[in-house]
Amino acid sequence: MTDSVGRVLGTEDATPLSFWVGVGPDAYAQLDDVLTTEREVPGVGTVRVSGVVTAVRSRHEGAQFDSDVFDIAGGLLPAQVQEAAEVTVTRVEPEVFVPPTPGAAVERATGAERDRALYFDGMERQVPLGFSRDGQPVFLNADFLDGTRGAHVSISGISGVATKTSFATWLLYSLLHSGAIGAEAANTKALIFNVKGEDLLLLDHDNTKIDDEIRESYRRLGMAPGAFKSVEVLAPPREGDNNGVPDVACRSTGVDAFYWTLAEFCRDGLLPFVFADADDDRQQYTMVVHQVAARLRKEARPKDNGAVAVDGQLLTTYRDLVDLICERLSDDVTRTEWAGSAIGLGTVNAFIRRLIASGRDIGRLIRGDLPPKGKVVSSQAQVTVVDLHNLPDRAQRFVVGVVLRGEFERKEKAGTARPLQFVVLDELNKYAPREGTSPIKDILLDIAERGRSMGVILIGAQQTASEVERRIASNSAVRVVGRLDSAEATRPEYGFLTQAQRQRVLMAKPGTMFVGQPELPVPLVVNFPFPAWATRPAEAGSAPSTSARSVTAKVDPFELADDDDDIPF
Amino acid sequence: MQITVDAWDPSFADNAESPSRSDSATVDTEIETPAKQWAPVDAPGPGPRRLLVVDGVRRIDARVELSDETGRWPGMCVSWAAGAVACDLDGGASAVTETAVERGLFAPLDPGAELDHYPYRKTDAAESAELIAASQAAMAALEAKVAAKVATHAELSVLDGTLRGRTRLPNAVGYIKSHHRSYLQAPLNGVVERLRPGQRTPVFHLMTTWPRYSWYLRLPGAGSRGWAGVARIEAADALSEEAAIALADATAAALPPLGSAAHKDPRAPQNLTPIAGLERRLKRKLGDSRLLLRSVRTAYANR
Repeated sequence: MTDSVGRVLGTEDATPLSFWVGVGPDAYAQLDDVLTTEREVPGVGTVRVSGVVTAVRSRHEGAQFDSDVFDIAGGLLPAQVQEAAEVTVTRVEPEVFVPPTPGAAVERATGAERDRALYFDGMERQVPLGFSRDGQPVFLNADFLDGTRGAHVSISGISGVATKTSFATWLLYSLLHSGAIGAEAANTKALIFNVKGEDLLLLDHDNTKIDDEIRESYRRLGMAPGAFKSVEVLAPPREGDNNGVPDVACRSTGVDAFYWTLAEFCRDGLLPFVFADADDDRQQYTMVVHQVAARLRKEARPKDNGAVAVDGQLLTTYRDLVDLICERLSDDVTRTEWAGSAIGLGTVNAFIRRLIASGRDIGRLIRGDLPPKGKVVSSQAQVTVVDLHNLPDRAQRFVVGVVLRGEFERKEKAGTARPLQFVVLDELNKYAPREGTSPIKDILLDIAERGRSMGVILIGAQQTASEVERRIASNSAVRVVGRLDSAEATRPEYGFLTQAQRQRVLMAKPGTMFVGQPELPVPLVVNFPFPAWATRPAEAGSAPSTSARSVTAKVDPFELADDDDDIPF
Repeated sequence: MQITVDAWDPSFADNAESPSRSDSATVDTEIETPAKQWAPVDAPGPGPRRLLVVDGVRRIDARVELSDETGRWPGMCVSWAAGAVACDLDGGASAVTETAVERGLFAPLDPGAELDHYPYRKTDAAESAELIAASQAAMAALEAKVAAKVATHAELSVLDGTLRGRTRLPNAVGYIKSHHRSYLQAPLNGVVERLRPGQRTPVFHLMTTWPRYSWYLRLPGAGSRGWAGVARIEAADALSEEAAIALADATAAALPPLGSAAHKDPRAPQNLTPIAGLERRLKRKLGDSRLLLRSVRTAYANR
C-alpha cells in the first residue's frame, strides 16, 4: 500500500544518499515521513531507494523579490507555491548505489515497504520505542540492547524537558513487557538509581492520570499498560535514626533501607569509594587510602550487629572508625603501620582531612548497630530502585560505586551473561567525567567495555554527552537524544544526528526522542507514550498488593492454596 | 538542399523593428467630450475586481541558412508562448490559467525535412525583419486563441499589445506600453502631459489600417511629467460609444494598482505586475534556448 507524494527533483542534485522530492499539489510530506522510489538499472533490474524526510521547504516560484509576496498575496502577481522535501536515504535495495532519476514518482511507504525502509523487516526481536510523527510504531532491534550484537544505551538531554529517566524506564518496560526477549524477560533484572526527587520510587504504582488513548497506544505497541510488577525500593536510613528506617516520603510500604555494616566495610575494602578521586595518580594521599583499607581488612574483627573490633577496641559507628584511623595515623608509633613507610606528614594530613569530612555524609550508610543485610541488592525483585536523592554528593558516589562493584563482581563470578542485568544511571557526567579517574569511573568503564559479554547493560543518562568519558559513550550501541541546548547540540558527540535534526533537538518536546541505532543511518524521531506507572505521588494509584504484604509477610498465604482445594467446610 | 545553423547567438537578430505600415491616421476626438473641452478624466470609484491579463513572449532560438544550387535563403527557428493570468483582487489570488507554447521554422522555402520541435511555416519574405514579423503574427494568433478560451468570465480583459484581430472578445482592451508615434494633435498632447497618475484622457476614435477606440492612461510610479508612465489603451470599434467610455473608466480604476515598481522591472510602470509574472512563467515554458539550439544543430548535422 503506497500513496503518491510527488516526484524526484531535477533542480537539486539527487544522490544515492539523499535527494529532494517535489511535493505534488494534492500531497504533503512532513518531517520523518518514510518515502520510497524506484528506478530501473540496466543489468540489475529495479532498484528501490527508500529514506526518511529530513527537511521540508516551500517557496513561491516566480517571485524575484521579497516584496513580491505582497503582490502575490494581493492577487496581482501570479506565482506558484511549491513544496519540496529532502529525503535522507536509509536503504537501497538491492545495494546498487545509484541516484534516483529526476522525475521518478515518489510514494509514501507504508506497511511492509516502511518496515523494509527502516530495517524493521530484519529485526527478529523488536523492542517498541514508540510512534513516529505519522503515528506508525517504531522499533529497536533487541540484538543491540541485550548484548547479542551490541549493548548499552546513552541518553542525553537537558534537565526537566528531555524526559531522560522517563525514556529509560519506558525502554525497560517495553523490553520486559513487549515479549521481544521472550521468556528471558522473567529473569531479567534491572537496577535503577534514583538521583532526583522521588520520581522513580513509584514504579509499581499504576498511573491514575492516563486515559484510554494512552492505554490504546500501549496496546498498539503490543503490550499491556500498567506498572512494573516486581519492584523493590531501597532507600538510605533516616539521618539520626537508630532503627534504620528508610528515608522516603512518598511511600510507606515496599521500601527497605540499605546500608553496609562496619564489618562489610572493612572486609570488602570499601574505603576507596569514600574518596571520589582515590585512583587519581596525581593525588599523593591515595596511597594512604589503599594502605588503610588493607590494614582495616587485616585488623578488623567482626562483632555482633555488624560492629567491628580493632585492636580490642569496639567500633559501632562510622565516626568511631574515623576516630580510630585518625588516632592511629596521628600517633608516631602506629603511623608507619597504617599509612605505610616513607609517607610525608602532609600527605597523611590530607587523607585525615578528607576522611573526617566524609563522616557527616557517609555516617548513616555505614552502621555498626544494625544487623547485616547480606547483599544490598536482593535477587528477589525484577526491578530494584536505589534511592539516592536524599544523599549528599559524596554518599551518592559511594553508593553507586559500591553497588555497581557488587553487581559486577556477582556477574563476573556467575560467568554467564544470562540473565541480563540492566543498570539505569542518571548524571553519568558526574560518575564518569571525561577528565580524571575515580573508582566509580573505572567500574563504569569496565561495564561499558566488558559488560556486554557479561550481561551487564548500562542505560546511562546525562545532560551533556560531551562531558562523559568518551569510551563509555562510544561503546553505547543505542544513542538517544532529547532536547538539547544549542551549544551542546553542535558538539561532535551528536554527529550521528542529521543537520536538520541538530536544529530540531533544540525544540524537541517532552516525550520526543531521537533514537540512533546501529542498523539505521538516520536516527528516528520517536514519541514514546506517557508512563503507565506513577511518576509522582499525585498520580499514584493504590499500592500493589505485593508491596503492602511486605509489611507483614513476603508470601501471600492465599497463593499457597491450590485452586482445586475444596471449601474446608 | 543544404542547411547551416548560424553560429551567432540568435538573439542578435532580434532587434529589427516590424516594418512600418501606413502613416495615415484619422482621429476623431469628439467621442466623449468636444476637443476644445479636453481635460484629464479621473477614475470613477472602484473598478472591476476580477481581471484577466493575456500576454505572449517570443524568442528566436536559431538562425539557419538554406541553400542549394540556385541560391540562399534565411530561415529562423522561433519559439513563442501565450498565457493568461486571472487576478481575483478580492480573493487575493492570481493564477496562470492558460498557457500554450508553439515553435516553428520560418523560411521562404520548405527545407524538406521537419525538425522535431520546429514545424515548417511558409513565409514569403526573405528579409530577417520580415521573418520576425511573421513570427510576431504567429504569436499574436496564439494570444488570441488563449484569450478566446478564457476571456468570457472576466470583468475586464487586458490583452498585451494592440487589439488588432482580437476585437470580438467581451470586455477586452488592448494595452500598448510604448509610443512610436503620436496620434493626437499638438494641443491635445498637452492634455496627455497634464495627466496625473490614475487619470486618463477622454476616449477618441482612431482609424489607421483598422478602426478602434483609444485613450491614454497615466500609471503611478514614474512621476507625472511628459509621457512617463503613460500607456495607450484600445477598445473594439464594434462597441457603442457609451460602452467604450465605460471600459475606459474601468481601466482607469483597475490598471493603476497593477503598475510595476521601477526597481523590479525595467519597463515600469507600464509593464503591469501580472504581465511581468506571466512573462517570467512563459519564458520558462519556452524551454532552455541552449538546449534547443543544440537539438537544431544535431538535427541538421545528422541529415
